[in-house]
Amino acid sequence: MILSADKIRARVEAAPTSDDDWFAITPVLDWTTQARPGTSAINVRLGTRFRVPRRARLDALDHLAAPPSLESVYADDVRVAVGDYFVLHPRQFVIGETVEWFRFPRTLAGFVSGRSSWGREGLIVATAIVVHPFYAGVLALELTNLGEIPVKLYPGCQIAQLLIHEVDGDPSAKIPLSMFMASAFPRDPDPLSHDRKVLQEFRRSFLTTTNLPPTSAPPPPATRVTASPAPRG
Amino acid sequence: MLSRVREHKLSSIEERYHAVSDSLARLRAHPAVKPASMYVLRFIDAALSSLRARLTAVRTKESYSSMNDYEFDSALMLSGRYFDKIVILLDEVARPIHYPAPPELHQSLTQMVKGIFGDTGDLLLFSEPGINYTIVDLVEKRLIDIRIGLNRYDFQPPAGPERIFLVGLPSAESDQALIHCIIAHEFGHKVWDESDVLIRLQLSASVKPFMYLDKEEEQVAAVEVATEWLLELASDLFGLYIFGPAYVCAAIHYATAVTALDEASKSHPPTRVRLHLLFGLMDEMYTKSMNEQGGREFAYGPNMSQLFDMWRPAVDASRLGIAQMSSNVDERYARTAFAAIRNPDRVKELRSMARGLAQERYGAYYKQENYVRDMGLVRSIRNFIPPVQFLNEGKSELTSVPGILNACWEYYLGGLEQFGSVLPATISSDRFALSAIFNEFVLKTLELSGLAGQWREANGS
Repeated sequence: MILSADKIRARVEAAPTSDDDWFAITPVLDWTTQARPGTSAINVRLGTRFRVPRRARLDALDHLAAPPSLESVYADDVRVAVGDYFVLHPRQFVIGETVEWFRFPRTLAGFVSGRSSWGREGLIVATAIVVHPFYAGVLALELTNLGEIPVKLYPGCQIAQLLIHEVDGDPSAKIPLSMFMASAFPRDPDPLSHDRKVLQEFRRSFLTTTNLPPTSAPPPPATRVTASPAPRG
Repeated sequence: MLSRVREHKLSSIEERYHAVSDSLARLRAHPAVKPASMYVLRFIDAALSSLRARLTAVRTKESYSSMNDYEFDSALMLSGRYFDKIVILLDEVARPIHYPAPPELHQSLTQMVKGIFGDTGDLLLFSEPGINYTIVDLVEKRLIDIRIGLNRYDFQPPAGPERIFLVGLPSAESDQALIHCIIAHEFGHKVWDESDVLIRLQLSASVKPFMYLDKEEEQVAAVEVATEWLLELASDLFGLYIFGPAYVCAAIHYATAVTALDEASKSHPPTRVRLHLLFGLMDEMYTKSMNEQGGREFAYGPNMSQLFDMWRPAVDASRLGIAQMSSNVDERYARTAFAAIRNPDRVKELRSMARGLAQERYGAYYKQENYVRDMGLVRSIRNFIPPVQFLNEGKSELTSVPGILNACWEYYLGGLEQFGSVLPATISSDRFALSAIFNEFVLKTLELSGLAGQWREANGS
C-alpha cells in the first residue's frame, strides 16, 4: 500500500517504537508544500552537490578492466551555493543529490519519480528509482536534460517526488551490508560488483579464443569490494 | 609634459594595476566565491580605480611636472604602498578558492560568527597549508588601513560587513569536523581582543602580586608572558562555554597530537596547564550531583566520561609545574605565569570573565541542561540519522551546532560500531576508512543544519 502524504508525515513525526522501526526524513524544510494533504508522495529538494562527468580523462567507463573512481578521475565535484544555480544543458547528464537524508525502517520502501512540471521541460531526474528498506543517506538523482533548452537548477527547489509503500517480509531481517549505506553524497557505483569474477573469466577466455589484442589493460584480479544487494541500484 | 623616464615609470605601474585587475576579474567570476569575498573584491576594485585616477592626475596635472625627481618618486611611492597592501589582501581573499575548506562547514560556522559578532560579521574559510588554526579580521587588519590611506584620493569604498574573519583550518584536519570546535578558541581571541586594553590591564594587575623580579624590564617581560598565557587560557574557557565538553574532546585530540603536554612558548602555556584549567571548569559546569563525601556525579555521556576519566589524572594539579616544562621561556617569567594561573582567585576571575563574554556575545553558553538534552541525539546517530532536528512535544525544532558536535563526539568515542556493522568489511575493518565515512556524516549534518537555519531565516519563521 502506498502511503498518503499525511501518513508519511505522521510516520516521520511519530516517536519510533524501536530502532528498526525508525523512519526519518531530515530536514523537511516545509511540510505544507512538500507533503500536500491529499497527495500520495513527498516532494524532495535538490541539494548543492553535482558530479559532472569529465570526458577528457577517460576513453570509456570499463568497470571490468579497472573500476574508475568517479570522484577523482571520471567526474568533477561541483558545489553550488544556495542562491546560485547549475545549468543543465541539452543531453547533459550529471548526478545530483537530495537535500533530504532518509532512513527507511524495515517495513517501508520507496521509489523516486520525476515531477511533471520538470518533465515538461525535458528534465529526467532519476533512473534507478527504488529505495530499499533500511537504506540511510541522501538519494542520488541521475539528472538528464532531454529537452532542447538549457535548464537552470536551483539548490533547494522541489525536484522530484518520493512514493513510499509498505513492505511485507521477514520481521527478523537484518540490515544488508552495502557500500551505499550512510551516504552523505552519491558514492562511486560498481555495477559489476556481483558478477565481476565470472565476467572477467569470460573476457579472458574470449581474448584467448579469438587471439585479439586486448583493447585496454588486462583485467586485474577481482579485488573490488563485492557488496551484497545495494539498497539503491 | 613628463620626461620619458617618468612616463616609463607610470606605464610600468599601470601594467601592474592592469595585471591585478585581471586576477580580480577572474576571482569575481569564480563560482566558489562567497558574498564576503565578493565584497572584498569590490572593495579592491574601488581601491584600484582610485589609484588609477591618481596616476591620471600625475600624468595630466601641471603641478607634477614641476616636481623634482625626489618629489615625483615620493608621490608615486605613496600610492605604491597601498598597492602592495591591495595585493596582499587579494592573495588572502583568494585563499578560500585556491585552498578550499569543506563547503559543508560554511553556513553553520557563519551563523555562529553572526551569533557572536552580530549580523554584520561574516566568515571566509580555507584549508590552511600549515598545522595551526589561524584567524585574521580582514576589515580590521587590512580594509580599514587601505581605506584611511586612500581617503586622500577620493576613495569611495562600497558598504559591507563590519567584520570578515578569514579562518584557516589546518589542512591535515580540514575535513575532520569534530576537531573544528577549536575554532571557538580563535573566536575567543577576537572577543578578548575587543576588550583588549581593559582585559590586559586586569590580567596584568592580577599577575603583579606573583612577581619575583626586581628589574622593571624583567617585570614587563614577565607580565607579557603571563598575560599571553592567560589570554590563551581565557580563549580556551570561552571555547568551553560555547561548545561544552565537545571543545575539551577536540582540545585533547588536537593539542596533544601537535604538541608535547609540557611544551610551552612565550605565547602559549603548556597543554597540560590548558587541559587542567578546562577540566576544572568543565567538571564544575557538568556536575549532576555531589555525594556527602564530596564525590561528584557528572552529566557526561558514557563515552566522553571514559575519555575524561582517562585524562583527569594526567592533567591533575599535582602534575603541573615548571620542572618538566620544555620551552624557550625564561624560567623566572614562567614562574610568575604559573603562580598566577595556580591562584584560585585568578582562575575564578578568568572563568567569570569568559562566562560573561560568552553570555554577552553568544546569548547563552552551553549549559548542562542543553548537553543532557543533546545527548538524546546519539540514538539518532546510531541509526544513521543526522541530528539536524529533534521533536519537542510533537513540534520539530532545529538542533544547535554545539548540540550536534557534542552528540557526534559522544558517538565517535564509542568506536563507530553501528556504522561498521552496515558497511562492507573492507571499510569496517579499516579504522581510518570508517572514520572518513563518519566524518562525511558529521559534515553533512552541519551542512543540513546550516541550510535549515538559512531556510528558516529566509522564510521568516
